[in-house]
Amino acid sequence: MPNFESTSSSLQALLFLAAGALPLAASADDLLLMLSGDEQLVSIATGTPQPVSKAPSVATVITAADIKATGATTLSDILESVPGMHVSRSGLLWAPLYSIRGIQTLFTPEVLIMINGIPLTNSYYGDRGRLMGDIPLEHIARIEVIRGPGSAVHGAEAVSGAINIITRTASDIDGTESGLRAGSYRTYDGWVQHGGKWGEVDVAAYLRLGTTEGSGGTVGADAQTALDRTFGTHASNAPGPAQNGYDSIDARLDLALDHWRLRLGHIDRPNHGTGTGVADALDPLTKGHGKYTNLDLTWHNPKLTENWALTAQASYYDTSEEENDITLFPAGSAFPLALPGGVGSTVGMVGRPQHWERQQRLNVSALYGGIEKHKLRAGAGYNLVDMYKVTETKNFTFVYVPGVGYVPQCINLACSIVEATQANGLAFLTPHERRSVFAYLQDEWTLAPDWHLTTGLRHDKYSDFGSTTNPRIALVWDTAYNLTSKLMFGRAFRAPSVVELYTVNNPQAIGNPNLKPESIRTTELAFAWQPTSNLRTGLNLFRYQMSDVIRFVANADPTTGNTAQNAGDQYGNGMELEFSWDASSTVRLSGNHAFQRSVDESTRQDAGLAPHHHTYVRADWRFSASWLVSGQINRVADRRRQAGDDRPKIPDYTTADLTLRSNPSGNAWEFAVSIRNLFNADVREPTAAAAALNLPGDLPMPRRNLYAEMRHRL
Amino acid sequence: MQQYRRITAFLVAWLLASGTALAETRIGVLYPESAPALLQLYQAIINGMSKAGEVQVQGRAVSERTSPEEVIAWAQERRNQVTVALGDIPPALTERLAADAPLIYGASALNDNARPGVSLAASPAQMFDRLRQIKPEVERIFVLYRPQSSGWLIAAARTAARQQGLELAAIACEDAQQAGAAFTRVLQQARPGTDAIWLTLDPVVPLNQLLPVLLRESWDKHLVLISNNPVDVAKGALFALYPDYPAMGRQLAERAKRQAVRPTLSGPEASEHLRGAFNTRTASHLGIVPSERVLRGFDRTFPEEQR
Repeated sequence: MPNFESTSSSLQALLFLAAGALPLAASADDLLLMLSGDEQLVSIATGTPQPVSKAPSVATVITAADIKATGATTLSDILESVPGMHVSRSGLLWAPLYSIRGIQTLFTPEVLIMINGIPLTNSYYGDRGRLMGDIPLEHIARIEVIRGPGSAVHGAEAVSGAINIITRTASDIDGTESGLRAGSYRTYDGWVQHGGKWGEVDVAAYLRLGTTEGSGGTVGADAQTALDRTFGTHASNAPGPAQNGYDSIDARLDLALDHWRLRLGHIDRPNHGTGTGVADALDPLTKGHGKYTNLDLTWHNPKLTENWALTAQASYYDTSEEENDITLFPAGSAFPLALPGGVGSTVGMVGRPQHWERQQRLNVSALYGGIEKHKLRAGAGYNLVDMYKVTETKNFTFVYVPGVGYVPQCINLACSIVEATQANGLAFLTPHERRSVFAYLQDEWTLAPDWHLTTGLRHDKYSDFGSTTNPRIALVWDTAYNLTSKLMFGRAFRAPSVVELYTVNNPQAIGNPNLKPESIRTTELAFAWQPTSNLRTGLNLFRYQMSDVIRFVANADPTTGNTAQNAGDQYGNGMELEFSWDASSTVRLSGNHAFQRSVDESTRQDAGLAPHHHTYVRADWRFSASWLVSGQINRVADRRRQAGDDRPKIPDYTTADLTLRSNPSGNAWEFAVSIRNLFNADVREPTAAAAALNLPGDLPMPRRNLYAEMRHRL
Repeated sequence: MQQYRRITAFLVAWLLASGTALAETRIGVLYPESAPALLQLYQAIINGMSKAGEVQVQGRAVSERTSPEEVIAWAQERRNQVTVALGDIPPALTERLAADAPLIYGASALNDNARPGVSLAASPAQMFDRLRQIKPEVERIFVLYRPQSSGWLIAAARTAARQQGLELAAIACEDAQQAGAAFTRVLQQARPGTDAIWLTLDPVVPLNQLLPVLLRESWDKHLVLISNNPVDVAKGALFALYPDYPAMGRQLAERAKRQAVRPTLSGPEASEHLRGAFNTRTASHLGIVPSERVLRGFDRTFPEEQR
């Protein structure tokens, strides 16, 4: 209905604005760009681009332009800019931890990571594989990050959020680009990518090689330091640098013809450091090697008939995570204890667990638009996850000492390494196969003009732990021409990992085949408001309740070790406020502030580790047609310790990064230089309460560092 | 006898083929040296021109450093029969060329009734046809224009509106202030549900300043806002039609051929080969439930890709 009160003031504004308007025509270049309909260019004019959405959600889209402007070189770098998201680190293998809205667990398997919609999940720990290092960004077209539950669409692991990495296609690359980058910590990267046509086939190909020694950072004391104090030994490598270097090979091929698309990808991480060590004891000798290969064939016909669109996809994912002999405790350690008359402390405690996994996925989805005011989406699929090979060699076993607990002891007199098998009763895990089937249905219903109701339900049935059904409901109200309001509710789940279900012979982490999936219920209220044509804002409010969180909990007799249990419950609430302001045709300011408060119900205390307040501000200034300077400030504040950890509160920090990029017109060369952590802040990511004694000084993040980059386009 | 006929047929075919070769129009295309993203667009247009029949097309990038003499030398060496200036080419570079061969313009709005070429503005006939498909209730279309700039477009629009049974309320304005006043009157008298406002590329309407108000008023009054710019759709207009660049290149080449034969042809023509953008959110607000067929007629949908 017309609003006459506002109308009259609006019309006055119209006259006023017109009177002040400069009679400037857009330049032909600007017009040509705008009318190109190019998504990226349109998004520049209209703000944050939207994800290829399958359901209403609170989402952030990071474009290739964002990546370039910020100077980010890895997925972890760029994800720090997402509202409500903080990228922390695990000491174990220096794996990135994606903490969303206060949910920060040991390996953050509560975040689903996908490449082109296909999960990267590794069933071993339920995360994306911990020898993957980080994911480079040169071949990424966009990253869609959805906060909140996504299981009604994506299935397992989309508990606190889902990250979908969309790689560049032939048209995105359109030519041949090569690049070289050199930076601090002996970091060198080189890549080449090509997008074009081979006959009728659209081809995108990418190859990247890289190496880094890692930022290191001094770890003052580790688990061996504590053992040295107890046993009077001097074995620890601490103080010493964290081992966070790795080499990297990334390759991708994308072939598209008509309705068909074939994609092949390989991520290879040789010489991967162990971070602060597998047993929280620095280990400069061990190197891991993660290999992740994926292949998918997709058939997509958006116009199968007038009302039907259909997609069918088969995918394959092969992973292996291998190491040389891992030094859990270094030579000279009291562990493993010597057998009477045997060798003990001189050799150190060594083990080598490795696993190999194959995944096959088949799914089909359909979109039906034949019912007026409804859009139906349905899908079904079958997944086979086969951890087909698990091996372990070690020189120790655990023996039970009444009243003390399990202690590591040499496996034989020589304390030499033996193969752990099922036959000799030493294996920690046996091969495991997991099958699952799923089906989902979603209806998007236009209830009335401006009102849309989306309801969805997905059922997953697993061969090992049973079934789970997860709903999603969203009411979207187009409140005004520049305001959209959304009320959403969803439930999501995380499948217990193989380690959580089946580990044996490790008293610190005993598996439990009776585990149920973790689950979360989340309610969100979101507003997107564009008060002026050059200012876009968003406010998201949320509350969640996590149930049956899987944790390794001390047994009734704590000396007998820890067993995986659905023991945790956690609730939380918070908000995210975000904005993007085009201050002029050459300056854009954007940023966000997130607040969350999460409570562990069993202790009634703060869930800990994740920042309560996180602020990110970015400024881009294109001060000439060829030059772009971009600065960002990131403040992480108010991180509490977990219950039972009496160390002082984790210090807040603020970092600043500055990136200068030049792309002279008509020139095939592009240059960039980026300074990270410009003011050399001492940034620490917290270790969990369980590691408080082993790694009391938290984890040191990179100090001031820089890189220079050059790219060439043909 | 039969052999004689075969030879004759061959000779005729050969002559026709040579004639065709001789009839090829040599088109020289000037375009501004620009950032890579823009160069790709100019290249797409030039490639499109090359796809037209019976043309030889060659592009040349020009910059502030390029002298008129260099451009003339290039044109003479190539024996260009027509020159096409894409985008913003300094007049100093084209003025003397125009003396030797016809000069036409492309890749800009061509806000000048006398300027020959193909404008980025979409064909009004197709705009109105699409409007009737999507919202048949619309009876009247308002458009603001500056007669010296867009008179040619509005003349075409009047014809198209008549053919579609629509009333075209075209309001002439000389400057932004008049445009503001005119829009004020339009919004006061507009009839919800049956009136539409058409936003052209005429710079007399300072859309940077006025669009937010137009969007709000159109939303509140259930007016249909249509545009020649997909960016307006992303912001809330119902739909836009805008040029498909390679196809626009072919149209530009055809115009160049005609111009070579009839150098006195004047005035711009609208783009006939179009792409479309559609705003589902605005459509829903206006009570429009587009069929799949209608949706598939658009290349982009906003605010989200829902297909």
